[in-house]
Amino acid sequence: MDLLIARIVDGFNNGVVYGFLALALVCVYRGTGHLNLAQGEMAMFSAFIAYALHAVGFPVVLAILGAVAIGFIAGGVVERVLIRPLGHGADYSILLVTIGLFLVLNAGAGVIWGGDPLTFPAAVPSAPDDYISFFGTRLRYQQLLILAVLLVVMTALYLLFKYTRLGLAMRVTAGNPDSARLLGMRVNQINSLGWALAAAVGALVGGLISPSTTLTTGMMFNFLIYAAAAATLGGFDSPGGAVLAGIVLGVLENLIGSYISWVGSDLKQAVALVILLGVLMVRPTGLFGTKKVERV
Amino acid sequence: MTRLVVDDLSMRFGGITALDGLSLTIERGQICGLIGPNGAGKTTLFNCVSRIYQPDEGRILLDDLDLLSVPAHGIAAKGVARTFQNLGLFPSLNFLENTMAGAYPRGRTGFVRALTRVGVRREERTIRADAYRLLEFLELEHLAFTPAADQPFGTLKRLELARALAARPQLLLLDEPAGGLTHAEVDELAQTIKRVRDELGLTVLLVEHHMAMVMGISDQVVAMNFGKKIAEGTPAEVRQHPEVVAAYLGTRA
Amino acid sequence: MALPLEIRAGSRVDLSWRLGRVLGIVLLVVTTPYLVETFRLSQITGALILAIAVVGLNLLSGFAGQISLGHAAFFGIGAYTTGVMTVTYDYGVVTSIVAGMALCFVVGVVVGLPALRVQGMYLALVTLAVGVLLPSLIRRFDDLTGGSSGLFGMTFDAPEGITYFVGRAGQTVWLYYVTVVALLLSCLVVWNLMTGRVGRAVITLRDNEAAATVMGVNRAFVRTVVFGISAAIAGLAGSLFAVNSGVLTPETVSLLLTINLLVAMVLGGSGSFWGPVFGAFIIYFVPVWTSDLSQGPISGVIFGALVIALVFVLPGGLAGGLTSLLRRLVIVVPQPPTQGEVDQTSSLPDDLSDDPAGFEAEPTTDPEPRPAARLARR
Repeated sequence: MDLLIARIVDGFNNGVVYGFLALALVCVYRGTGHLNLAQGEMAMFSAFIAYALHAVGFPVVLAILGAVAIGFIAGGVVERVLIRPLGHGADYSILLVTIGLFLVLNAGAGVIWGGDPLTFPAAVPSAPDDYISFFGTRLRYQQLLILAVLLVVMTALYLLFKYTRLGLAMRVTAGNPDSARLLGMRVNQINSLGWALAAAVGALVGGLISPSTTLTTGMMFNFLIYAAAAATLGGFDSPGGAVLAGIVLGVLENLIGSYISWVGSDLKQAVALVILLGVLMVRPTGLFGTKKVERV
Repeated sequence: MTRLVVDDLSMRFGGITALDGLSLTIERGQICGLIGPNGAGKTTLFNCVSRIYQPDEGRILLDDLDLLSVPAHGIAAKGVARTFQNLGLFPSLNFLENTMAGAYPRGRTGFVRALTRVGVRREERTIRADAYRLLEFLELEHLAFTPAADQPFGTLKRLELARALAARPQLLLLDEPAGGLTHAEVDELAQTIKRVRDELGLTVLLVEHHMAMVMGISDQVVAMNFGKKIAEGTPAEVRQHPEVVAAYLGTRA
Repeated sequence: MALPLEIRAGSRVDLSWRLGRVLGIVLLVVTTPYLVETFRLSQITGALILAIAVVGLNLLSGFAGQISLGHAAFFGIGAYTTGVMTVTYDYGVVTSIVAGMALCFVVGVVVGLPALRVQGMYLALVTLAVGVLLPSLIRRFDDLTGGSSGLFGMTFDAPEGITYFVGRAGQTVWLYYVTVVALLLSCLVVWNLMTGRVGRAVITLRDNEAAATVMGVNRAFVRTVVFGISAAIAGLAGSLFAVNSGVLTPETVSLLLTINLLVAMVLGGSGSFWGPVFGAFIIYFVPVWTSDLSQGPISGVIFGALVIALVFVLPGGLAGGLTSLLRRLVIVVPQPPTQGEVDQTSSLPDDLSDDPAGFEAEPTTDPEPRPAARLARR
């Protein structure tokens, strides 16, 4: 029983990260209606920036916040410079740009900081006995912090999207920018905001999880795929759904990987992917996504 | 030319009844104009006949063929061709290629033949010449090698017609062909449709808002409102039908 | 002499121009082994193998407009099928390559089926998932595939008795020629498909699906078969990679390979016939050169920046840029069919299945699917 709980908690912790990154994907989607394949790399790069800030003397928390702020600005700039000029509906071109961005950030981090893993300290005490006991497993403070921050961010975004005019405007401008403009909405600012928020969220994730994953250029690779799966399952326009889906994915994958030996650890990720594929077959626009209706 | 029979066709979208027991018959070689206010169900009917939609009830017969048993990509082979309101053209291709594309159902080169190059060259030359002749017929041959983008709307509409005709259809469905055209272009279009029907031997169903044009070229007119047929007959008859007048102009208060 | 020079399609100048290009390529292919040393030749072979994979990807993404973020999977299936069949089960190389391609075709069709239901970003995710799945599967079934430790020992031995191919250098030359032939065949397949009726089906489906369907194009059939063929070509590349490098690990067929293929396609020019070859060479050799210049994966930065720049500046890639440049010098003016041909069409049957009485007119068909700029006259 203890083992089961330990595995659930383990999966839960992974799922939290998936959901967190999925939130960033949701922000971009809400902002401009696209999938940002470079989201993970942006988060990774921000984590490295936090490292750099810390290395010049900032305390951990400030370094992370600094990276978040820089990420926010950078996200907005990326949208302004790389995405907006391509216009609405240039899906393929935008996908290519995000792939290019992926490469630049991934390789760039390697060029700037070298290929060796770096250590980034945790924001809260993380000595071996800094944990809370939970039904026989140890919940480390850092994990609890990540969860807490995730819940705060998720709630904030949910409230933003659902109850503010800005949030409503975001949904409209992503889907139909021309109508939005005619209604007086400041489409450009809203698009940038989506990307800026996403980058900020990503920076937050990166900064918080790097202590446990060690800081390497490949750290976000896997997470992106899970995050994309989570956002698809939970709905690209639903912060709560994406987080919930992320957590469910994390737990499911871990349990299936542990208890079905045929799957083992190699195919754990495959579980998430198979679920993703299965869902998309049945509902091609995701579990909670809104269906797009085309007029002939 | 072929005979089109629509029998008691009904279609619902959620709570909205787009088609309500609609029946109509178009005889061989006739031009039938379909009119009605927006939302009357004209496009829905069109889409049912071109098999984009599957109606909930009713039948559609092309001579003896049950059209509803044919999948969307099969209607071309059965002699049905349609144009689109917003142009069903292919911007990557030029005028000649667009027209050649329209001849798709008549060709035979599939994947296997393309790879083995059996008879391909000859078929290509045939289709190419045939498409060119069609462009000449519609006076577009000077644009044969121009990309089908960035041309005036009226010109593209004629290309759209060429594309549809390239399949040598028996039944031609025209979806608001006069939309976006100038007065002169509309007159030209009307003459072209008549010429096409006369010289190529087609049955034509057209949906149109431009009253003068529809009344001018149709042999029979069918008026719809709220998914039902409200009038049917010669243009003169339908024009004066009280329900038609009411649908467009309203009734005295 | 005013530029651009106009040449009538089908004229003798045009035909000699085309013949000249073909001869030039043949010359290049045949003299290369003499001009470079063995190591460089095997590098060139590596780039050509990549080119084959990009040709496959280009058919799917460039021509048919279907995003594929998982093409490395097909490369991997081809590679591992050949590897396992030759090393573990002792089949012949050619048999294994064909088997690999067949398997890839089937898998491609299977993957293509869900792709029918799914659009845009979700299609990207589906293909991404497939691409990421393969290395996991390879690791999991390691008794068959060697897992993370890898699969070794694949070779494609030169036929005996031909002195040209003797020895280590000869083996390299042999593989070079095998690859060149495979590349030419792949390009020929794509060319044959994309010019002509099938090409029209693919392009119309890409440009306007509803209109294409109404015109008779069977969306499901065309899309899945294209997926299958594209996968088979990538599989061919994978098989050749296996025998060329002799080693296979799951890392070689990871997401990174897909990204490389995509970048190569974009750089070379998606939707062009020669672009994939240019792109593959760039992708292969730039990292080789930059590793001499600096530490670190700077080639990644370069590629990323290039992709972004190209999207804005040169969407047609290198091939597109070169074609535009070439058009400033020479334009091949397409010719309409002869009057004789046109007159004959009025007596054509509606169904062209029974081949009409042969045309006696001289061929004026312009095989370029995208003829040059507007007619100068008229």
